[in-house]
Amino acid sequence: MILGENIATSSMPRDWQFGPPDAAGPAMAQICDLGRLLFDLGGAVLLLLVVALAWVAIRFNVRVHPVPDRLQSNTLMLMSWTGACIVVLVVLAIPSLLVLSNATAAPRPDLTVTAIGRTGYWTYAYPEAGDFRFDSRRLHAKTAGDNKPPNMMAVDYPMVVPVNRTVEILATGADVVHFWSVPALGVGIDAIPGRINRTWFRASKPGIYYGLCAGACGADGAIVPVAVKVVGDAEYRAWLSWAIREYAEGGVADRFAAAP
Amino acid sequence: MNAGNAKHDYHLADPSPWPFLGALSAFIMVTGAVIGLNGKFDFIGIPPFVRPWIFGGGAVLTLASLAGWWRDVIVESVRYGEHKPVVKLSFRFSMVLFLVIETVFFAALTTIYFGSALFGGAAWPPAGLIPPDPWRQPLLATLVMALSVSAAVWARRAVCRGDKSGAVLAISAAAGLSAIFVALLIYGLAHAPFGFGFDGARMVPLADPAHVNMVSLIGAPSAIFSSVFFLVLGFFALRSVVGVALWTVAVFRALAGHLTPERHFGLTAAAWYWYFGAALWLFLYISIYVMGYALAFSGR
Amino acid sequence: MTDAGSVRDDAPRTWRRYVYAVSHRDIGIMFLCFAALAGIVGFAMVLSMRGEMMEPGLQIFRDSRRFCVLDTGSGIVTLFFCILPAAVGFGYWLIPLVIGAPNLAFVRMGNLSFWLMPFAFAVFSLSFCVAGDAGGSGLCADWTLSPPLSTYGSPGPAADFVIAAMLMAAVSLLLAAVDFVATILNMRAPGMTLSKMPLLPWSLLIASFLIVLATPALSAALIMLLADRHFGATVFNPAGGGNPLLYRHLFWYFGNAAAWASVLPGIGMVGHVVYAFSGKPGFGRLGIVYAMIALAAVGLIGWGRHLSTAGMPFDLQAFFLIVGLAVAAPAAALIFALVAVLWGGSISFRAPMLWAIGFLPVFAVGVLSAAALNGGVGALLHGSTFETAGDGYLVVFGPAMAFFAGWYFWFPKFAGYRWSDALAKLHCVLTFVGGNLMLFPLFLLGMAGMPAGAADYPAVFAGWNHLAGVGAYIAAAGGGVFLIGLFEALIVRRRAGANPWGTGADGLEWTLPSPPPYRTFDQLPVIR
Repeated sequence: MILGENIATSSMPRDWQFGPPDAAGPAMAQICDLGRLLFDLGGAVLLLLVVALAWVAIRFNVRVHPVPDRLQSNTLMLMSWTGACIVVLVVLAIPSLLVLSNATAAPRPDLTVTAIGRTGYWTYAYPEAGDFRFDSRRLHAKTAGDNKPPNMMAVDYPMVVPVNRTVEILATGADVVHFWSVPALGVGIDAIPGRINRTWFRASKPGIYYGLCAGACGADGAIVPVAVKVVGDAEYRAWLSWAIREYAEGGVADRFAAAP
Repeated sequence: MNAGNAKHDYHLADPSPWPFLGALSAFIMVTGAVIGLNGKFDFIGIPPFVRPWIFGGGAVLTLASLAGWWRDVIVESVRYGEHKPVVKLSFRFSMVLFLVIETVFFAALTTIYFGSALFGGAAWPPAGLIPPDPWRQPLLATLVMALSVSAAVWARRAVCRGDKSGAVLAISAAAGLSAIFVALLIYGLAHAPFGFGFDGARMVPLADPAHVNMVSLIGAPSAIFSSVFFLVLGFFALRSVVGVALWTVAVFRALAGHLTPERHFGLTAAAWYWYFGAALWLFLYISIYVMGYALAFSGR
Repeated sequence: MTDAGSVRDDAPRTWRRYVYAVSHRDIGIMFLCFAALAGIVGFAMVLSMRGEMMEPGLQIFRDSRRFCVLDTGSGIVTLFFCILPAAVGFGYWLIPLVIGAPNLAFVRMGNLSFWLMPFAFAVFSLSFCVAGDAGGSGLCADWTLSPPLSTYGSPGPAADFVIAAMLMAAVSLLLAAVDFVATILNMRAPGMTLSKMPLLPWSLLIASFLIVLATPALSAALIMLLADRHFGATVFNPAGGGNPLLYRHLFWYFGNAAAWASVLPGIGMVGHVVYAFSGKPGFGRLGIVYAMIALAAVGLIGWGRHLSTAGMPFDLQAFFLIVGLAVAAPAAALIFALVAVLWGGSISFRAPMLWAIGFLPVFAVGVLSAAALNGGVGALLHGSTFETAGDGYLVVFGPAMAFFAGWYFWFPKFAGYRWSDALAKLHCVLTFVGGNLMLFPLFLLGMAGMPAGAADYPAVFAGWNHLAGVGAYIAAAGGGVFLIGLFEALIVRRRAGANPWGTGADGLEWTLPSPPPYRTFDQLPVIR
């Protein structure tokens, strides 16, 4: 039973995409607002610089302006410009700190999922919701069948979470350092061996959301996808009872060591 | 010397083979170290019994290059008087920078110790590990260190007074005491109540077929204490051996009459090096030996 | 003052002149040649990777592991063997001339710092010939050598060779930094107070302090890696109570300082060029110096942007966020001060000036992206090609623009010949367009979710990757124009004379003949 055939919305990057993915949760919406502010301000600064350089090239080149001005001091200008920069930076720092505190201070979670990074795949454990665990591997084109999954992003068994619930992620690495991230949900956290990192998200739209990791995810530099499937409450309960049965009886996924 | 018609006090060195030979020897030493450390792997058929000798030969060549270079510098100073005040000022700057470099190096080596002790979350020192008693050999080493610092102060005063026999005596005392300090330090490391990291640890492949190219170590969390203990104190012992070498050379230079009230930067450098080592030792003694021991018995 | 070089030319003959070098200019030119060769090697690696990524799927590389080996190697080659040695080379060649000193404070130490570099590169190259892990030869890990991938993840000797090479390069950098500090603080021409000192020695002085304060941490981290790998230590191994995160703190403390240490000399050189061709020499120089000091001071403690998703506590992340944003203030002041030099000036657009003006927006993009990566949106962008592009702009593209500005400015002094202005300008245009085309799409790909270090990737990222590949080929064409220009200049031999740039170039180096004789400033120049 592979879920995901009839998902209406699926967050895929588009070719020639300009900007971040559409937000699928409040955290990402907040990050997008901050990012827009950052990139608008940065773009404005860059535009100002380029216009100034163009103006300088036109107005002050040696043919048009053969005798340089003899200004003595520009300390006041330098100070005021730097002061303006500092004001802009303070304006940027406040929303950045808000995003940061939002990412680190999790509300009470409705569901906790442990993401264990391994070379080539992820293992997800649901310690409170039935205490099962399963592996999530990249789906290769030849094994995918007729479902036409998105190339290199689909996995055989995605992590499944209910919509509009606070999901806490506990990330750790089983062998080397990995990186668990889903941009559309605004989460990204290192999975470091010997250490449990905590983050959280809340998806506001059902769908499958993807994250990719390559260089930081183990030994051969191939892409390791992260896939999170967000479903309605009823569908989640159905999946949960299926998963508890399926994964507790062995089969495709390895057993959770502590499972009865 | 090719000072020619220079109208300044800077030292213009003659072409010297030592930098190139030093770099070449370092290359041999480093390559030999890698080859020697990887006994299981093949390197174009170099037999295992040859491997340590590549490293050893490289190390000897490196030391020989440094010694030849140092000899040239001494000759330039004593025979040709190249070290005018402005040159000695550059020596002082570089010596201070060297000590800054050493500070940062030891700070980086000890980050894991303080990181684990302050923010590790678990008991520190790790449960089941008894740090060495600070009131025995380490205390003795501290006292010897204090005596050697006094000898260093005495030596510099004697040289500045122009008291040659006093200087020889004082520098010999400093050299002897620093050698005793190093011996005590190494004795303490050799008789520590724990081994380096895991005793006889080695990398073993993971059994999981998905991780055929991964290996791991399975062991006790207490290994971190001994790892840091031996790394930090081992490097401190190494830099102290260099200090003993500086004092020993200073003894011979004092006997040869090189150290005059006006010209004795070799001694100054050795003294600065040793004072810095004394301060560093005090810091390490308090933070690793005393605090480690106190925490081990207060926490449980 | 102008007759300073008229003493007999007693240069040692043949190979001894370079192998036993005791002239700062011989050491400097060897460093620059080494950096250029390493740059060609590093860019060839990048070009093959960009070529591979022009289409999804594998075309050039047989498997993704080979790509990973090159990805690991290219970062190390670029930073340790190209950008930093290039900055050091300019420093060796120019510092004594610019401050009116006959030579370095410790010229033999300078020669050692050079010769360690090619031997370090040889050690590094050996890593490609031996096993890295069970997958094959060469080291496939992150270029930062983050454990555990670089410890028990890569049990073969390839990682040891890379670590050893980095240690040798670190020693070389430290020796050069100590030499620079002693020379600059102690050997300035009589009358040249620190406030009268030109920008290049200022920038290298500040960069040297960064190197002295940061590089020993890298050495310690690498030594602890070796201890973990071979002597059973567990400093970075959680199985023995260690912490892999600590290595990343130590490495990025160095890496971040090294990034600013490679940008600062570039800013110094751009300052000289801008002064020479704007008709406003020395305008606002002290302001630039203060901004550089502030940049270095804030930059030294702002390494957190590389650890934004490492799970640090909120207080630490907030600290790094504020420091990381604060770096933008002195950087903006620097850009503003350089634009203020141009404003109201009388600008002649010679080739070095074109490079210097091109440097400004590139540097601005690098600083802005570094600020963006600090906290906040870091979770979205970390580990993606956004980070690659930001580092590329800040550490590689920006310094490269500045170094070429310096190269074309001082080449007549180095060689005694003038470079073809048209070829230098063509090189500039190709590099600027190619570099931006190569790196800017990576920002957009990173935002869309493309991970860094992937050989193969989903087809949805094909468009921007193709464009980036085109940019890489354009930049490579620029490199070809550089080599053509070099041969052209050396074959045609247009005599430069002592000062080919006119009154704007008013530094002490332009009072000497081109190229300067083996011995310079036997009679120290006096500054009034």
